Amino acid sequence: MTSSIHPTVHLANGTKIVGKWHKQTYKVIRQIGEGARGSIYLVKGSQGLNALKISKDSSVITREAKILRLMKKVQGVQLGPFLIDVDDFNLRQTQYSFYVMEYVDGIRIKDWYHPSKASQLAIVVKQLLFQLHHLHLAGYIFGDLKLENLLIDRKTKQVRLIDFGGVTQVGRSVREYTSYYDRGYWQKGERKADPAYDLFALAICILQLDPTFKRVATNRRELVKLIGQSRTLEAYHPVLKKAVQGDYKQAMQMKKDLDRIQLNQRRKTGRRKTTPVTKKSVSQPTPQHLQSAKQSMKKEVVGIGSLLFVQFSLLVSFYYWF
Amino acid sequence: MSKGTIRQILLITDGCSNQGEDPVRVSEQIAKQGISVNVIGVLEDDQTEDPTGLTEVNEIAEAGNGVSRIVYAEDLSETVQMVTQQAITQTIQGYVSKELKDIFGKEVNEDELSPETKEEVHEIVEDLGETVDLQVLILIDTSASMQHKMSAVRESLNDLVISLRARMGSYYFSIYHFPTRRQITKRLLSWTNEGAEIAKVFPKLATGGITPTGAALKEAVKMFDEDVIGEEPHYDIIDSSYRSSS
Repeated sequence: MTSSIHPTVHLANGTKIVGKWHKQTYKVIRQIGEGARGSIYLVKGSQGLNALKISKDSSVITREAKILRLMKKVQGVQLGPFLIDVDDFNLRQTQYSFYVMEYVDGIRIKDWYHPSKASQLAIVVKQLLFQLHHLHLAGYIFGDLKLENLLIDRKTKQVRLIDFGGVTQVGRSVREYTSYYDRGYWQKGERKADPAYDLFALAICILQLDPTFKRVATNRRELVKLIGQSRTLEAYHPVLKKAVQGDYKQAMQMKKDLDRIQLNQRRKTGRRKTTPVTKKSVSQPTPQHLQSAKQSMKKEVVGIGSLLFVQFSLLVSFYYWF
Repeated sequence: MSKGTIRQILLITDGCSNQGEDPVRVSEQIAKQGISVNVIGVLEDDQTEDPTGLTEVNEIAEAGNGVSRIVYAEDLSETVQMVTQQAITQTIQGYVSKELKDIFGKEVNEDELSPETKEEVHEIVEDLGETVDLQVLILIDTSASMQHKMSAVRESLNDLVISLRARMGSYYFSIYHFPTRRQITKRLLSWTNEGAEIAKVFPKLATGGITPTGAALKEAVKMFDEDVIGEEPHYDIIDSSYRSSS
């Protein structure tokens, strides 16, 4: 009944966990995370590697398992880690609750990111917006969106959300949040769940990736000014400002603005890199070149063509690297 | 299911009481009145996370059907919010267990419920937790050693109000501190739901040397009898002592 004690549970490597109700066995390999609400272990189950979250506070497990099950049903889009099992476990006369989920083998976004990847960032953010959009459509927000909860899956190279403990029904108070990512903390709105709450946190995530962004907590009213100081993400400033001011009511509005930025970025990089290519292709003597008016038009067309080609190949390489 | 008001005391302290009544005993008495006692122990920067001096923090909360956490000042904001929320959930869970007992005619231990049943119970608890009305009496230990933690405490209370405001249920809070020169506890703020009031009362805080936690709790709990401005208190339905529900 009481949760006076810290809800984390320490399990030695090699501990065998047998579920009280469903009788599944999991062997602890190592701890992979610890939060204010429980501990997460990498375990080996009958189907291979899984992640297992265990807590002294069974309501934490019940709540998160319920959310993960919900996520499975959302629009056929896999949002959260796949839920495998929910059960109880007795250790030294104490009962603990746990759930088992798909193990996402990923790189923390902070370790993956480098300012040279600023243009790839748009792709990651758009993937996130896509996932958030579907979550919002289902009537929920992610809540505790922060860098620590974002992984790049090593296999699929897609960004994945982990830790669904903060997922909150739209209209309710946000259950779990991290001050620095919380719009209430920045005096930019209520701590009530609406899609804009996630978009605010997402903007802070992006800013946090910029090494030039100064983490000054004292001037909370001046977040917009702080954004202006982020030098490596200048292209994103308009989107970030709109997101923290709550101008985006839906994830797709933010995605549209990002599309525009990406297009501009490609135009810029495209123009710079295509100049020699354009010259080369125009130097091919063709009858059309005799007519100067048409020639300049053709120049344009070839220019645009090669530009598109370079854009396309850049895009392909982005996705490849990603 | 009709809704009532949940009553809580939130004690923020940094060490053991050294004068007067045993705070654990007092806390137990308070819980019997249907008021839960939640305690947050604030650590010094150089203290380890498991200091022996702060074991009393857990004991007071346990006796008071409440929740406790021991944290560094920098984590206060998130903790105050979390403890309050968990205490609400815990009180409702106690209430639901009692209802289950009435239905089944025997004590139903949560450990005996399958994960599937727990999930259904949890849903009811969460719905109630969001909509139930709340009255929180905040009791701040302002003994000398707490002095440099006061800005963090103020910060965390501002933050608590942001969270309370987001809930569907109504809320009132009041703030008391101890020790003071003439009285055991002193009111800084009577029942209000105005977050802006917090900033006004904090400069008034004077700090003293002794820590009569037990006596302070005993004094503070009397303040629940004060009417909330403009509203009759109606806190008899949900009761963290799990006794009187009708």
